[in-house]
Amino acid sequence: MDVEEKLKILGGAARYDVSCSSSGVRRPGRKGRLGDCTSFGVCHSWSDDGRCISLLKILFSNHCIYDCAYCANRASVARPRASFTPDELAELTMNFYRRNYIEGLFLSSAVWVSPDHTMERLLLTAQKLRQEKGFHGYIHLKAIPGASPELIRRAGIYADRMSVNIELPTEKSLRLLAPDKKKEDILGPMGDVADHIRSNKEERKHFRKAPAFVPAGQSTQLIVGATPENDLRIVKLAEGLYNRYNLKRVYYSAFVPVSDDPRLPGLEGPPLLREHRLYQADWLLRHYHFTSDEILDEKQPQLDEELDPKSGWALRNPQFFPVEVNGADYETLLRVPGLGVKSAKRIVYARRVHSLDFDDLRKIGVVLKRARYFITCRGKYFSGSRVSGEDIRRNISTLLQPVGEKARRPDQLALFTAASVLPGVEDALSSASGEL
Amino acid sequence: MPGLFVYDGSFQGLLTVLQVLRETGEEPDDIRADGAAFQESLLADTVHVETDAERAEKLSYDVCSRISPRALRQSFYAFLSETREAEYHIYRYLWLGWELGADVDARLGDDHVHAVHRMSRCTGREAHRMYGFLRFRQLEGGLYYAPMESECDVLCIVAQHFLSRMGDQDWMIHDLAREQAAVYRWGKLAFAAVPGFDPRLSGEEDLCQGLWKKYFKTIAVAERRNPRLQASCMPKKYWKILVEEPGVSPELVVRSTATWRLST
Repeated sequence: MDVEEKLKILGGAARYDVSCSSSGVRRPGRKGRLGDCTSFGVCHSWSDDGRCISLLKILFSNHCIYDCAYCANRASVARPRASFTPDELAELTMNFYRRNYIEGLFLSSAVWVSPDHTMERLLLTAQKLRQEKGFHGYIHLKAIPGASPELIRRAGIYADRMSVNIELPTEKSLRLLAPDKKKEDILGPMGDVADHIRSNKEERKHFRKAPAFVPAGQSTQLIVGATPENDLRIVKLAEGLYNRYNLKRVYYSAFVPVSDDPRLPGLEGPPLLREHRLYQADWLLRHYHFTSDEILDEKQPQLDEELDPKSGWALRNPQFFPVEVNGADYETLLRVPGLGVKSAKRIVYARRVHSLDFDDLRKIGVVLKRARYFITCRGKYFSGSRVSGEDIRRNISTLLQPVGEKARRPDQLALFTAASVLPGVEDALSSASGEL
Repeated sequence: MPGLFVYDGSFQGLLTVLQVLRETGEEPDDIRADGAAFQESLLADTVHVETDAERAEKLSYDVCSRISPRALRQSFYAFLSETREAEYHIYRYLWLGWELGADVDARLGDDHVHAVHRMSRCTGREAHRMYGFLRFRQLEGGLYYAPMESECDVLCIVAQHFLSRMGDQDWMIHDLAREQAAVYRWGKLAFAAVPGFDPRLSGEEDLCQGLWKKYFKTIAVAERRNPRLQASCMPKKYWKILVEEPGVSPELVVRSTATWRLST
């Protein structure tokens, strides 16, 4: 089988892996050498599904001994199978990198022969790239569940990032859909990697030249919609992973039905909107200092499809609003719907020189679509007076509706323009405008 | 009566004009590059300023020490955006900077500060896009060649990025519209004008491009097809410098409509 055929099979098999980031590690290039890493990461292209391509995301092999129901490569299914050799993969990566197609390699694999056998192949490929080819670009390696700790530790010396995919949020679901995998097989390597990262950081404080272990941290992936877990479960799990294992990212993957296995739910298509809301909740955990209890609780275990989670929180907690932009501290600004990390920082920076009104906010790039209902400038509301919770909800979820419509019915894009000029929104504003 | 100041179109030239303005205390009506698009106004007096490396150096030193190194970078990036009136905004921005020092960048409400930031962001964003979108093609003789088309003049920024990255191969980035190129050979980077450069691809190149094109189509999930998102992340104006072929392949359309039909 030639490389082109393998690329087609094994590239296609890797498409359901979500992670693609190439950020988090800075490694300046050296004279006469190939490759460097920038802390911000670079996207090189966007595929036809609108997801970015930053790394050559590919499987080493799709020969699998396991039979997980949600997976396109499970053992019981008849499909073309292939495996690379470390040489082929190293060569391919170098050729793509030299042409600036990619930022580096993201190597995953089905479990071929045994976890250790597979992990060894991944390790060999990374080693070959780093040592033989002198490649200094980004490498993301999968830690294969059940592989020996020693192999994982050695792989971590060559990799910038490692990940173990949890895939299913509870042990029960794991038993149902992936009977060959055990919880310990997944959490074991994750814990090992986390421990090594921690001790490596300590070591590097004393010996700056000590080789870095997985400097860009580790990540994982959860499948959303293949099993009946609610959003509360998923967000709680993500929070636990961030706190316990110090993960850099948890990725969520809307389940794409790849088989008609009776254990799987009948879905109308991937739950893209739910995935989107989970990412928003995830951002609240990582960048906005929210806790999972603030985002969801037992009474409301599911994220609101019509409203982003931050707006939802703000509407449930009107006692914190309005926030005066000229006085509130950074943490408080962060909790205002519509204000992101960048906007909050810009506000804090700009108001050192003079106090801000709504016009200034717009000039510094703050989007007022949602924020206007929750802030005051020099004591004044955007519309002159406070808007009631129900009205805010109606207004901002009208604005959000197009996203939902788009996700459910991708062909009816005309709705977007129709919804954004609905009379309700604009009228409510202009009739009460004191500031306009 | 001073009015219109004209310089040679280089950043050094602009810095010279600004230094002259500082020395004489004159206030310009406008500052323009001397070029094809420039027409002398009948009404305003025109002052041609010769580029003077020493004066330019003095000004950039003073901007760094009396305002901030960041202000010099913002000005340079704004200049590279090639926006009309960039020069005048930079002038007003720096003059406000003499008063405020490093705090000038916090004056986000000021029109000139705002304009300079906006232009500088535009250049920065396009340079970052080029880090991703440039595609090198191997030519006969082994040189890796990347054509580039950009609205802002980002060649020097982009070249710096690849200088750090591609240290073990010879390469060339060709700004097609400006007919300029950054060439890295024998371990050295140089900029040169290259009118009518005709690249000839190596034999291996076709094979590698074929692999990339195939990979690009394979990696998309048909059920998640989203051309709007694709085009907003990767604007179509950049598609012609790519190797891969974005946009929906016929195979993908058939499969994805089939999926959606099942659902409705």
